[in-house]
Amino acid sequence: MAIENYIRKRFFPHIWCPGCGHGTVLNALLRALEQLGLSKNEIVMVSGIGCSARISGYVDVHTLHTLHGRALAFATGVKLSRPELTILVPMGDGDALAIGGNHFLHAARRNIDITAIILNNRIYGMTGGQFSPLSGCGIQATTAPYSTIDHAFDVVELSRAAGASFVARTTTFHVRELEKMLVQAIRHRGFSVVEVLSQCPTHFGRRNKEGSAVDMLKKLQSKTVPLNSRKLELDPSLVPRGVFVDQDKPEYCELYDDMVARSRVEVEEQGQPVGADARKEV
Amino acid sequence: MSERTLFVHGNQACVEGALYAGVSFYAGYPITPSSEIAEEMSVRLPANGGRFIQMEDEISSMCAIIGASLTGRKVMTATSGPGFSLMQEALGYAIMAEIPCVIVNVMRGGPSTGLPTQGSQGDVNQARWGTHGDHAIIALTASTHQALFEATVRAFNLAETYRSPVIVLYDELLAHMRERLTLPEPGDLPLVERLRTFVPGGVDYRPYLARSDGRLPMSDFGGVHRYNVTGLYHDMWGFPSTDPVTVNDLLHHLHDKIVVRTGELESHREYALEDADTVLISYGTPARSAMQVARKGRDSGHRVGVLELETLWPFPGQLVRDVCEKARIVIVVEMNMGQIRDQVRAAVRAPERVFLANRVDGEFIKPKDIGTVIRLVDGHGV
Amino acid sequence: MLKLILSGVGGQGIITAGVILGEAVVIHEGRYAVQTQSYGAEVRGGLARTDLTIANSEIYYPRVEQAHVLVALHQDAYLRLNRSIRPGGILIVDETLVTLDARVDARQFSLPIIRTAEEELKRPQAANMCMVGVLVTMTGVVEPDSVSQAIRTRFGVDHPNLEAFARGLELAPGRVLQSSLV
Repeated sequence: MAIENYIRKRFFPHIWCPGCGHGTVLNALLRALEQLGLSKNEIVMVSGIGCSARISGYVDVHTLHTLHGRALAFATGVKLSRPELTILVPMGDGDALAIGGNHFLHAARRNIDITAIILNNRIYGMTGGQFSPLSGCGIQATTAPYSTIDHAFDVVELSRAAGASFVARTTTFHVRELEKMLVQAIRHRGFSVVEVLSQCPTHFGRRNKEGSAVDMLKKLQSKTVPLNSRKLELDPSLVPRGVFVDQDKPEYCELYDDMVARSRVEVEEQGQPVGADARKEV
Repeated sequence: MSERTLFVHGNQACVEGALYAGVSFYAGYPITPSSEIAEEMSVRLPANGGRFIQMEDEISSMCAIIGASLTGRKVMTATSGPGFSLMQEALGYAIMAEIPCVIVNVMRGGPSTGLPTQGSQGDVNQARWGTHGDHAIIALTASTHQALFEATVRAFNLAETYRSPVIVLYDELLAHMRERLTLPEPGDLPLVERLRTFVPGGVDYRPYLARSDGRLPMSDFGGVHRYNVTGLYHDMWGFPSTDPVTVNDLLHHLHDKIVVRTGELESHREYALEDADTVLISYGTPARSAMQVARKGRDSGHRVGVLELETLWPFPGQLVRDVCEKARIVIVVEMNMGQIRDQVRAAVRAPERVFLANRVDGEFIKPKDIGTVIRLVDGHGV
Repeated sequence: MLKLILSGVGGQGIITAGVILGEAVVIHEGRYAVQTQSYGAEVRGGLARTDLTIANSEIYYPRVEQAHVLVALHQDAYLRLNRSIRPGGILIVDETLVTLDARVDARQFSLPIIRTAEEELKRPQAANMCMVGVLVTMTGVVEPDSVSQAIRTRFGVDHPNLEAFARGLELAPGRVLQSSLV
């Protein structure tokens, strides 16, 4: 299927600013879907609120545009109900890790088969340039006129610690790598996280004197290096890209099926399951 | 005796009703005094093909049931006041996106952590106006386990019929007391199933275009129709819109589909109202005390009657006005500071005749408490 | 209509005793019972109380204000609840754990319920079923067979609680409640 078939053409042009990295992520995602050969009817995209969340409107799959931070919680309901569906959840940095931080941790802990794509531009774009939990210290934002004093999360380390079984990071500059990682992440059975460092020239670039979108992309190129590379060894201040975690680990819906099997054994033995009330008499 | 007669607590009666109605997905977070619902669901659902998940909080519980409902399941969550507060955001989403779901709130004393183990009816107005923005909502209640079973079944039916969240409100006392519950046979109570579109794949399906009877046929996620669901104002395809006509029409639709059907949605029980000069209006377990007072009153020649409301929202104003027309005094019996009393006053012709018999100390309203108010109003002292 | 309060401390199985009686009345005799409970935030220890109303018709008000029968298996429960009994009502206490106060206006019976469970039955946790047996004999509020069936359904067909219940039936001094109340 040509990648044009994965989009809802009548809803273009999109809302993103010129130079925004989100279109690049959408492009890579469509190419990944094409490469995977998934039918549009078996894909559900769930998003929250923010610039990134608007991706869901443009893709011709089942789309659920939800509440700020809650996309993974809605997605968990969809997935557990219909495990055979492929669930994609694009999120912004604030969406995923500020208001949605707890849902992110618990989705990772359950290792439920959902692909979370974090479009990290280190700023709240839609609301006008406030700092996010991924901005880090020393950043200019509309709510940090004297520059930020908040430390940033490391998405990779956070995801790993929370139990995600696939964790990768790349940038909007490295489009082929991004496409490849998305293919791997969607194929992976379990909770997958792909952090995409992205540029917001309108709110982040302008305020932090990072220049045009092209300048920002060049920075993403020069400040990131492949994981385990010689360059990283020589300069540990560079940000590593690559697949950090790719682990075989029991997935939530599969474990649920095992639990159902255990409950069936009880039903066969007793005729009906022993109610919660009676179980307390033990 | 029939095996279908049970001696159970109210939370189990609620679960039995939900299972009878065909619930197949439950997401929740433990909270007193509702936790027994989650516990029983965790036993019953996996064993019969359903899905149970304990989420990280009530916010995500509400979100998860909405997601599951979109795949075609009948869904439910249960909580108490603090959790119900957390659910308000996603409750509004379910209203806006018209997702069938049932939310049970077992009321305990509030505000805040309040009285976790004791009963209250303090969340009546929260059920009506807890989520932001103009909207309408359906909320049902009950005073016995049999009625709670039926109210829960009805909640699922109304959720499916009107593509709306439906709230079941009851207090801690009903939740934890045990009494008889006779399970109806399959088919005894009518069940409303999900209305699905007949539009075939490849043909333009408009998920938010109402039929002439007001119902909106759905298509399950994973099926042949790929559409958008959003909490933004949206057009008939579910795509965001700020067009004033679209916005205006949608809000009117969301409001009217419930409010103009107040008569159909209304459900109540009554006792000796025909010639009553003293009308007790109550709901939930306080209605049991009101019944006791009325029966004793009738035995000693007093013309006391009871109107027990089983639909709280939309508020049945016309019914209340008619019932109170000839009453000398109207006493609203409830476990809050007068949330339904205010509705009754707004509904009747003579609001100065409406009084409140309440308790807000976590204790159950005793028949004596109601008797005291009647004596005071009648000028007989205590 | 008969109104009972069963009380003790958390962990004694007071609530379960009330539930078994209710199940016997409702499920096995087709009559009416309503049971409510209250306990403190402690999972073990703290006052445990269950109110049980048994009747041949629908019961509205579910709590018991003035009990016809009060059981107290612990001194704290006895002291806190002895005024919840109707004047002249029946008060059953555990001989080992409760010291009777002669000023209480009730017919007081002190029986070795816990000692029987511990020493004779070697099953201290069955004291509650022993107490149910005592109650059934003294009040006649429900047929012993109905209670045995309720125990079998809840705990299993050969459960030791059956023996404890049977022993309780014998431990009682006989029927003391006038039949008109039931």
